[in-house]
Amino acid sequence: MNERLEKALAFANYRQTLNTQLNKSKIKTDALLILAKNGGTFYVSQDLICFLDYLLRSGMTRATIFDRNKLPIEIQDIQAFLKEVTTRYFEVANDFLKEYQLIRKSRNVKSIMEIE
Amino acid sequence: MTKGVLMYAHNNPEIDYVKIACANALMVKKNLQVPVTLVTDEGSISWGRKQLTEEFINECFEKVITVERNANFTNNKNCNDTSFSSKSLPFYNSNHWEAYELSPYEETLFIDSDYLIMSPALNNCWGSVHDVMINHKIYSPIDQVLPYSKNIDDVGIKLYWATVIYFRKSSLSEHLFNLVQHIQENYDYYKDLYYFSSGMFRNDNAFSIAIHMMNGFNDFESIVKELPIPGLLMSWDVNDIHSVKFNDIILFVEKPDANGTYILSRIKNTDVHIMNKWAINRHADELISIYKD
Repeated sequence: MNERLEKALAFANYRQTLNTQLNKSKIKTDALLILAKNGGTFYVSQDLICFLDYLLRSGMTRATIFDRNKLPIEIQDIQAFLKEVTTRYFEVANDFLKEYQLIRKSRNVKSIMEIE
Repeated sequence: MTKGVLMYAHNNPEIDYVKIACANALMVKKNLQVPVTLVTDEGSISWGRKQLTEEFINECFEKVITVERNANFTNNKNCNDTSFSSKSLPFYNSNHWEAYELSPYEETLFIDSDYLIMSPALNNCWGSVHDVMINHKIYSPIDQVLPYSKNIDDVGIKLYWATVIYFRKSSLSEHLFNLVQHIQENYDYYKDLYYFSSGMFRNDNAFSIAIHMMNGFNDFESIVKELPIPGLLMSWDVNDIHSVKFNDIILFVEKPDANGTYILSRIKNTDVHIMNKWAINRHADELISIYKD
């Protein structure tokens, strides 16, 4: 195999590793954004945060809202739930940012894998 | 309400499932902080006690339930240890329907012993409003797409993966497990009815058919909901393990359509189903020493 082709294939390997690693990080992040509450499970998203904030601004303290399986779940304390949801959102987003930057900056398979 | 994990381990001449279950039980205890019960047979647990000591087995499991192995049940499975080695081995999986009766817990996470728990994600199951949760979405370490569903055959019903099942003791769960027993006992009939080719008994197929029946013979609005994870991460048996650390595994993942060529894939803080049993067996001692207190 000539050197140019070898380099091109090594780059293809690196890109494939990088892309699959990013995909796994995204899916792991999705898993971490699932929050169990009162028997239901909620996907922590900007939509949920905005909706809970809207309910609070409308003067509601408790409400029945749909979870990720479209089941109605009663939330007794919207303010506390909003805090829980927001905290989870930023914890997960910050962790993902660190991981994302590490993967994006890696210039070879060894550094993507963090192999010494 | 009592809650815990239930695992099955029936050894065959090559794979020490009890040892794999021990390693995974320690991983469960670290990541989910719940007790684990093992369902096994006399031969497998005797070998486990001899190899790993009775004290260690008791440290791993809150309870060990020994069941009779049905000598009439033969189910051979082609198992790969990467694409370079393949063997047909006995695969004893005929008694999963008994999990409902055998589980000592009111809420049970019934997992395959090779579904390695490396995150607390499944803790979101406890206290769920759903009586049963099973996933139909999967993804593999080499995928560049989001988790996806499969069907049991090209024109078949939706495939549910019996790798991880959450159930609480309820009439709905009981019906489901009873149906699985019935389907297993009449597997040839259901194989023809649901039009799938594999001759080997698969719990995935039996649960998929049972769910389809319980849904009123449709696939649209399932009575069984998804687990609180985006999908099950499946590392097929053509892959191998490069190295293991705490909640961190690096895999050699075979490239699609390129047998014997691999890329590395790092799995961190994510539960993973390692289908290459030899690979887990090779790293079981290391996993045990990492997760043992």
